[in-house]
Amino acid sequence: MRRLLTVAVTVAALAIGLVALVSSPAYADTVCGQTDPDTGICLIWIEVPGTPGTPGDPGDDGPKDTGSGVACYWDGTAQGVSKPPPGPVPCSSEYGYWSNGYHCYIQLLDPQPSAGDPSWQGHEPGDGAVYQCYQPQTDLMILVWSADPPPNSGSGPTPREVAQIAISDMKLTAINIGIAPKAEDGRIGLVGMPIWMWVANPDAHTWGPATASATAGGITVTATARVHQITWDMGDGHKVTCRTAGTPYKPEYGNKKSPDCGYVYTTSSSSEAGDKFKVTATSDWVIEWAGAGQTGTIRLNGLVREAQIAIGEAQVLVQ
Amino acid sequence: MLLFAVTACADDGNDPAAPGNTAPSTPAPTTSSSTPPSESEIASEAASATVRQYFTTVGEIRQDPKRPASDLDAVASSTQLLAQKNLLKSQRADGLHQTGMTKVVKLNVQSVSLDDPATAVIDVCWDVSGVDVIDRSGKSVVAPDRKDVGWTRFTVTNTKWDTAPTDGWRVSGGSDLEKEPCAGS
Repeated sequence: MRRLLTVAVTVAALAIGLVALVSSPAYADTVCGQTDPDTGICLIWIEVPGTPGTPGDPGDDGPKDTGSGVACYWDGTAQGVSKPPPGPVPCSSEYGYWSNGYHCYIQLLDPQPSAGDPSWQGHEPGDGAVYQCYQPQTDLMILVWSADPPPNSGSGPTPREVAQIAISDMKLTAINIGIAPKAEDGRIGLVGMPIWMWVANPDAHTWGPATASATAGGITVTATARVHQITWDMGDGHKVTCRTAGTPYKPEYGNKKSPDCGYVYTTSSSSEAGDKFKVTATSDWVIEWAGAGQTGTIRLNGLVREAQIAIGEAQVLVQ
Repeated sequence: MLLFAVTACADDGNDPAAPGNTAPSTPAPTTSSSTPPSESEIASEAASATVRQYFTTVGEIRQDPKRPASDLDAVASSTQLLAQKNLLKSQRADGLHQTGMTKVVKLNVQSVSLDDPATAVIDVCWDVSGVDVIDRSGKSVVAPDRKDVGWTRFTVTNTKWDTAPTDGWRVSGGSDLEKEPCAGS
């Protein structure tokens, strides 16, 4: 059990200024995702989805993966300190190693206080130890007694790793394929006729948004996942990238093309195994996380669903 | 070789039907005055109220330098909260403050999901024609290309749906929505 006894608080008049904070990771190739209405300036930077994909034209690739973030962070809000605002800090300094739990740099006091010193809080030397806890953000120096060395946050999980815990709780899955003609025996599409593809019964797990939080190593991260695009491999060597869930086909649409996610085969599937094209839909997720005074993006690609459809060639009958 | 003498897209119409757009979840419910509200209706109403309160809180905080940024915690979370706090900090450091309040002209609930966490997607048309942001000298610093009327699609989440179905909603994210401007009020 972690025990922390604050014994003496001294506002040290150290001449050292605030430790420079590490900047939050920045997105590359970004555009404004959300404009602040009042000021007209950008509130949140992301990449906006492009127009619906066309074969061979994947368009923009969405926000870049921003990496791990920084495991060590400062957040003084719990103690009523708003400046500097929450944000990452170097995990070590001349004052020791950073502890997210203590919000300060930890260093074993050397030499240890003599027996009976108030900083021992009644403990005998050899029972735990007294540590120096220095908070450069406030110039506060605290001596603490602890039975065990306070955890070194630099060896703990990064925000990305905590975000990945949250992502695992989301139970993200591949989409349920909607396709016309249906992927069933006896259903045949035609060369030259429109194929419609869509996400059947989209929900938080297959299309998003899905949100989850996780806590580890003194870091709490909230992540929100959305599908950025679906890559449809049509099985004939062509791929279609769609950035919408697609439009479910209805009989009244007749021979119209899908307005946002479709394809037209130019060859029949007769030469394929089982006389069918193997169609796969691969989900490309964008997960935005916030925590430990930082934000970032994780890309997740590889959730795949498969369907098989038959495509035949039309024959003109002349009497 | 497969040969068929048909011309229509081969389908019997039994494919799953859904609105022909990107709505990811259940359609927005409507409230009936004669029957008790369903859970989706409760969620829809509460999430909508949170979005309205979000605009009110943001406007009030930006007008009053003494109001703590932590007031945003009651209406926003996640990325939205972080972004709002960062902007507020920046504005206050630069000695800027706002006059006037944003008007919520239209608010359309696009979808509600009660999966954990409960999530609503809400489109808002706002009107900021009565809003200005001024520096210490009283000079407006509003971007010249600021739109007076526009749309934002907000994600509103409630991680405490089981225990706080009406009070646990927070605006957690959002994105600009390219859409015909609604009529300003």
